[in-house]
Amino acid sequence: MLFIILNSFIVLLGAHSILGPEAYFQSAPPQFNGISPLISFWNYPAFLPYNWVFIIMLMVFAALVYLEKFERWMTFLVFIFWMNFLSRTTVINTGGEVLVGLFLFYLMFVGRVKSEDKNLQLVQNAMNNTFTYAIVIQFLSVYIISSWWKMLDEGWMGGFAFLHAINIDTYSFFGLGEFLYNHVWIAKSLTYLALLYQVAFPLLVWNKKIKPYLLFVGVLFHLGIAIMMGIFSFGLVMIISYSLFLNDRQLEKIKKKMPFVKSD
Amino acid sequence: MQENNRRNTKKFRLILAFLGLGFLILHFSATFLFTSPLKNHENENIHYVVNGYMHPLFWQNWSLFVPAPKDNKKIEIAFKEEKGYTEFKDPLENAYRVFKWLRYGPEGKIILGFDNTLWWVYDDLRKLNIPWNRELEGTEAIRFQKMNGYFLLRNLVLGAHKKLSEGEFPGAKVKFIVVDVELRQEYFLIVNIEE
Repeated sequence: MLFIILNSFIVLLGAHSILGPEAYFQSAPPQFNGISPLISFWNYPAFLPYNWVFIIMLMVFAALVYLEKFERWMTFLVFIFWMNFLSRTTVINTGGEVLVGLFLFYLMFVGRVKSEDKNLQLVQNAMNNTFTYAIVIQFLSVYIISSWWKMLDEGWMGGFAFLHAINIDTYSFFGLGEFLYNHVWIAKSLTYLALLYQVAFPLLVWNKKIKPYLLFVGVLFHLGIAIMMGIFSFGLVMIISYSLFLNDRQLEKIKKKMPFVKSD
Repeated sequence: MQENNRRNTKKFRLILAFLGLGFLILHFSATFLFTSPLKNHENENIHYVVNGYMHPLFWQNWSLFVPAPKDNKKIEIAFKEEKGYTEFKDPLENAYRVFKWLRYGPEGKIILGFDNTLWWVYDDLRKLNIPWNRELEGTEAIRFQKMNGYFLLRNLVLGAHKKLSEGEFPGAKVKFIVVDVELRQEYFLIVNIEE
């Protein structure tokens, strides 16, 4: 939820260029079929001038979930508004924002039951288990599918993917692109290491001894991508998602160091 | 009685576990078919079912940086004036200056938005199958104006104009520049955006 608030705030700062009728990027108005009007109503031309209001509402809903107020309803509203946000700002988003949307869908079914009815509690318990597994599988599928695609790509298998990407203005970092042209072996090593990490993660994360080191390397890996290539929200979401693989004791430790982090 | 209750609860638990597992298997099979390199569209029936399920709620794409990008795309805009055109200028000049230092800010999002939009524009320009390093004219220009890439490009130019002046959009010329970072070669096309 903190990521949603932070990301929305950043978009709000650039609202004039990103949202509204004068933005660089415009989306097609929603079609009146199925669920589309509900998850893309921000795109209606009449609502475009008020897109910034919707962003503030999204931040308020996310803050209420964070504060555990009306959690289930607010999670539903955050999901609806986040899907609208994704639909309105498709081109500025990374896989990170898409992953958050999927997590929000699963999270809508996770929660507590106030009723004493044992059957209801059993149903809720089953939903909690199912959708917690769904979040973990969804997260792992990012690494599995992504590394599979990469292994079929000439640029990645040739070791040039990082060298080429870092020389594109959008993903550039000071003089790093030029430096890597003169030290191709470093660029190749980074490409292969990135690929190796993505292949290894879904297999090694289940090993208790290796896991802490794997997560530590992962944090460095995603921070590196975030800072060097400027794809910050993706890195941030992936790092936050690593908490899925921590146990209660480890989460408590983090919570002590960062009191704003929720352990449940 | 108690034994009966226990049995019923066990049965209920089994049913719930079966339903949960069923959902996970079906949902992630569809996700897998939709996102993996297994081309689900090669089988029309599977394509219909999988795409129908995944759109729009579960849409996702994890072919991150595949194919590895090697085309650096940018635009420079010259707006129409009373006599001729202004100089060609990169609308993202200032944004890049900030983005260099501030990696997580609105400028980064605008730059990424431009890059993704220009990818679609470039895709349409390539479909024209014409030589580069010149101005797009005649039937080629008319063909491009009917493509989605033209509307995306026009939105970028209109957005840039609104940030510079309050008047009516007078029309513009856009220099679409591509640098192949592998071969280190640059080529361009000049596109007219009508008022």
